[in-house]
Amino acid sequence: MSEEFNEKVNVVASFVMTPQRTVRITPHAMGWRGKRYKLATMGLYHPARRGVKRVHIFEFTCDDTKFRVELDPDSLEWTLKEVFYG
Amino acid sequence: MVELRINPASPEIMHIDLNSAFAMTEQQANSLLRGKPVGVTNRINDYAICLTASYEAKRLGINLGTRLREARQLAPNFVMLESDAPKYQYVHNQMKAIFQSYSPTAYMKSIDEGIIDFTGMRGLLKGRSLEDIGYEVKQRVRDEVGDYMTVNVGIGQNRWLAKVAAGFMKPDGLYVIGPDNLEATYGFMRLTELPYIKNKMRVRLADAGIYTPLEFLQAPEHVLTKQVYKSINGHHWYLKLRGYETEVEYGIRTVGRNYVLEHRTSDPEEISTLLYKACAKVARRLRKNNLVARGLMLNFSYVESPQESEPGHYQPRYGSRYGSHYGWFERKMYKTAVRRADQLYWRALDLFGRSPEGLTLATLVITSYALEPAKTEQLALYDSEDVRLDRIEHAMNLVNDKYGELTLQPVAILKSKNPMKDKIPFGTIRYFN
Repeated sequence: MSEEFNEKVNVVASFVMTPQRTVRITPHAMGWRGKRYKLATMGLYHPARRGVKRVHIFEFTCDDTKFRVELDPDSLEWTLKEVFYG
Repeated sequence: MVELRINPASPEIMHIDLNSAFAMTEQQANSLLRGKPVGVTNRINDYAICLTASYEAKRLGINLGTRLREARQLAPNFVMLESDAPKYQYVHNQMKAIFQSYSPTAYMKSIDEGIIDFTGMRGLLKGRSLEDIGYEVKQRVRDEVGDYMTVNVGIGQNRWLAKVAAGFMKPDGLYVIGPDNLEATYGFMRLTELPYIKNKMRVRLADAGIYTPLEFLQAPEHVLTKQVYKSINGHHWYLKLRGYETEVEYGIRTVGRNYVLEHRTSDPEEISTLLYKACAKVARRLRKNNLVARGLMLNFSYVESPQESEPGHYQPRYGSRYGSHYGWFERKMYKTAVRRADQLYWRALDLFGRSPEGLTLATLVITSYALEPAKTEQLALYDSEDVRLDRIEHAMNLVNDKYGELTLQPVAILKSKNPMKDKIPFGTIRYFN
């Protein structure tokens, strides 16, 4: 039902400064293997540690598919980690 | 003897419980799973049991301990997921931040439940009732954690009664237990619905003629202290049933590692490797908390039943939901306190040598106890072997902190077929910070 990947993807996201002086990142669309996926429901954001590095994980759905993508805050690269087929 | 009255104080303790925490977090993350029977387990394999089930799954009879095979028979569309500790840790931290914005004495009791203590804060609440704040907390959890997340809120005169109250009207309820409705609330409950009263305790209470929560409340103190509990616990129950606070927060008393084998084995070499892995983890946690341990306990559960003539202690597992595994445990208190992985490992091997031979290991638990704060080593003119090994382990930990867990690991661990990933720290949150 789910498949793991480790592929670089293009993501259109907004970076908004909140009143608490934190940056709220919201992905809107993702380009993967020549296809554009428009985010339908944002599921959950959570940070995770890779050694001392803190990466940002976003889980969102688009039609019948859920994507898990990871943002590297240093390189600002997005990586697709998992696809769940509903 | 004078009977102690029910505590007349108004309820000021709020208990917040995240419903079906891990399953709901997964449903929050994946909207395709909402409204479907979902379960979370540590590792998906033939022996996987459900550690938490969504409300949809619970309605179909899938609960904590249900095997994956049985769950799929009960619900063919049942989805079992592997636990994702960072996700739950994030939800835990978000909830903690919300609770701490209300009171300086707000804290998380476990990974999915927290306490807000409003004692002495009435003046600061500007006339707002705790029910009103409870509904606001619910809304903030939806807004700041996730729109699918629901919590149960209980308000009571002590932490235990607040937990009792949080058990009502799941999955999105709010209930208050005060001096006015305490007896009425006990009146419609069963004994086993009270937190910490399970079947074994129910039988002990029945032996003393106590069959309902109301009878438990009305029981004289000497019956609870001398007959039922035969300890100070009887006195604590006498107080907590009446709304007086008895719970005391202890610091870290044990540091351990619990592991369900992915590849069950009876090979002593493989088991020794797993022991080393577990010791390395325990050593890391001890060092992080600046503790040393004198006591060590090993607890194994086997697929087969050990012979009664074998040395050690046996404990048949209760109930059938964990399967019919048999357990063995051995513990020892040593003269000196240690914290290095190799020192713990030698002690673990000493205990392992006393375990029954030839049995297939299903789970392994290693627990260090009798903890003491680590003392600063006295400066020596020449470095001893102990100091050198201590520094090596510290350096390895620093490398693993920077580049990720198990970047550097002892050769002994590399041979193992069984991975030992970090899973859900159940019941405790002490390693989080």
